[in-house]
Amino acid sequence: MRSREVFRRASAPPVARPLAAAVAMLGLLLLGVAASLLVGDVPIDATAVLTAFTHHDSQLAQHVIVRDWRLPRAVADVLVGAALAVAGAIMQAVTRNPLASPGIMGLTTGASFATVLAMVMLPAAGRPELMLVSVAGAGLGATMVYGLASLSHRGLTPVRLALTGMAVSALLGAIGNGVMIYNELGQDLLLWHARGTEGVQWLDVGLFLPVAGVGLLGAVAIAPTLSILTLGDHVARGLGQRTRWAKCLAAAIVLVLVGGAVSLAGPVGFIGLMVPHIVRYLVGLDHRLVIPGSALCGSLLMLVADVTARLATTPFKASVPVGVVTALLGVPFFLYLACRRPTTARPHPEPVSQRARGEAIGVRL
Amino acid sequence: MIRSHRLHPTAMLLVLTVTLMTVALVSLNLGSTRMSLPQVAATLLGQGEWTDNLVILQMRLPRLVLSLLIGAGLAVSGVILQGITRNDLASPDTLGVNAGAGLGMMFLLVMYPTAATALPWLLPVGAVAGAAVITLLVFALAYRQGSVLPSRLLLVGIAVAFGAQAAMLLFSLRMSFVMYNYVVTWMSGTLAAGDWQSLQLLLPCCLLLIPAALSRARVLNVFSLGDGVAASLGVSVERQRLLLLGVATLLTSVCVALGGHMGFLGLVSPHLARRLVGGNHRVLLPAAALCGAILLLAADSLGRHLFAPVEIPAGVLVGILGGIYFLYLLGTTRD
Repeated sequence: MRSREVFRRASAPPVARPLAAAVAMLGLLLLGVAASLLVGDVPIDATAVLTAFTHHDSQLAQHVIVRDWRLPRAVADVLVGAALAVAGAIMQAVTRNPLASPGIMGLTTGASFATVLAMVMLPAAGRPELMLVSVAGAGLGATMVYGLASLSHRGLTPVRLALTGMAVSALLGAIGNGVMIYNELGQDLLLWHARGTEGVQWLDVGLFLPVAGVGLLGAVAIAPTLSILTLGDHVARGLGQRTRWAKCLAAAIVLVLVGGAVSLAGPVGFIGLMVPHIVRYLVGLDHRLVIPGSALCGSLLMLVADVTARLATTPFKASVPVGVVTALLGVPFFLYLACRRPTTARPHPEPVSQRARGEAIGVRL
Repeated sequence: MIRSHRLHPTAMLLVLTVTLMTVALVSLNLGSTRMSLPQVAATLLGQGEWTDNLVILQMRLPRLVLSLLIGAGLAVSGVILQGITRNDLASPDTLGVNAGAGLGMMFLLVMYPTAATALPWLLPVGAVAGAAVITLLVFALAYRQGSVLPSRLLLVGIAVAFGAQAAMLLFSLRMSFVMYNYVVTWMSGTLAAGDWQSLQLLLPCCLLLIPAALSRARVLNVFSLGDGVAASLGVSVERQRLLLLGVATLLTSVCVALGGHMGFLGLVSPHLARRLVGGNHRVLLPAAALCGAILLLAADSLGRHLFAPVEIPAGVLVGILGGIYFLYLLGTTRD
């Protein structure tokens, strides 16, 4: 159906002007950060925002709000969006499954489950410990979903992946509910789930920054390997790739990124699912472009979602979680991905010949 | 798959019934007030003392009947959904019926915060309406070129459930602390609020819908041969599918409205029953109903007893056990 079109797109040079595209994306990102600094409960105009940086006065409430509340929140949005989107791109490349993403594959559920458990069991745990627990929980969720979903005869079909993810989420949710009811905790945990990047401090951002930096740099470093992995295990091995080693490295990067992002902003869904699809549509299949593109696009999406959520607070008379905004976009996108083909048992993200894929990423097959 | 050591289906139904009655008697006996078996029997026959009457007739018996009906209802609707989609993994959970019921109830509570106290019957109605809307949406989205593909139905159900969860998060932030706790306890599937009043709605629905499902057992048998064969055998496929779907949705949403989210019960009981009595829906439907009732009753009794005085909702226990079984099924079945 669409294979000819994909073939053409895959065999053409992926991006005509990557530099121009990157500059445009960075410009949009800066605009997003600016909007994020301007929007909020307290009305602060543009000149006040500017003077908060040029002539900072720690006595002025407006300046403190801009520098110590809105700026860390914007930076956190950028980092979390980039981390989730890049994690999604890596997962879709390694599993060669269009529905693979931190939310569907149980990583965010696992991470938030482990954090909830740690908050109950170890009330004295500090933020670094909680982040470690969150990474471990992401690992638990991913291992459960991936391990169980790949047990079947026909491998990891999208339906099986989604069903397993749902079942693992429901299972961990049931255990979490039991713990919650047994310890008589209620809205504390709800607020933790729903808060997004609200109330993030420089301290939290500083903790996540090195984690995200290492993860994102690692993702860029393994980008060529990811391109080769999308060709399938046999071809990748034939091209001299040590697939097991590469997959382990990719999994470690994904866990660090998702675990850190969840411990900073709670479970924010669908960014890791949507962004890689959009970016692959724009720049093609070469992961040296897909990874940085996903980082930029994910940051932008998270910023826009957060600003939208803040803007929606007034008409809704209650704070709107950023996860609701991303779900509003993500559910139709998921439906589109799930329904676009009559058979869903296709392991490839795109129906395209291996030769065309190889050419798209600069490998002659 | 005929196995020689399997009991005759009728005998198996009898065994299940006896098991159910045993579990029910034990459940009546469990709790902070201990009673001997003759005491329980005397109370049931109307010869009990005043305190025994209060504990058994006003507190334990309605809860027992509620868990029996909810377990049976969810199991029957699970059999129907698996039959009409011809997919072993279909269930009220995977089709978003639970999420829809929760959403409908939350919507009512946010819009009319006094509804819970002023009009107790309004909440179940809201849950039924929400479940019906979500199910219709799922089927409309999965409907393509005259047929509903099972795999697409599952994916659409999961996506819609995600959306409903996000909407519930939004609603729950606007609720007061007390109301939120009420909703969370309800959503995790507790039968603690069971009294004779809540049975007034459930009992007629179950008495109407479960026999309706039983009377369609032959249609479900024919469905398992495939749409084409069913049509050539004289079944008006789309109409029967719609009818059965309506029965399943109504049954599930009434059960969820009164009992909350009983994770995976509607999925596990049909599978258990199929292992016990085989695939003929005439025995499968009653066997599944019995299995569901036994499971829920056992989970409720255990949850009441295990960590007393804190009560673990039956839905949590069923969800944990059912989730593990579901994952086992996923690992072993072909789709």
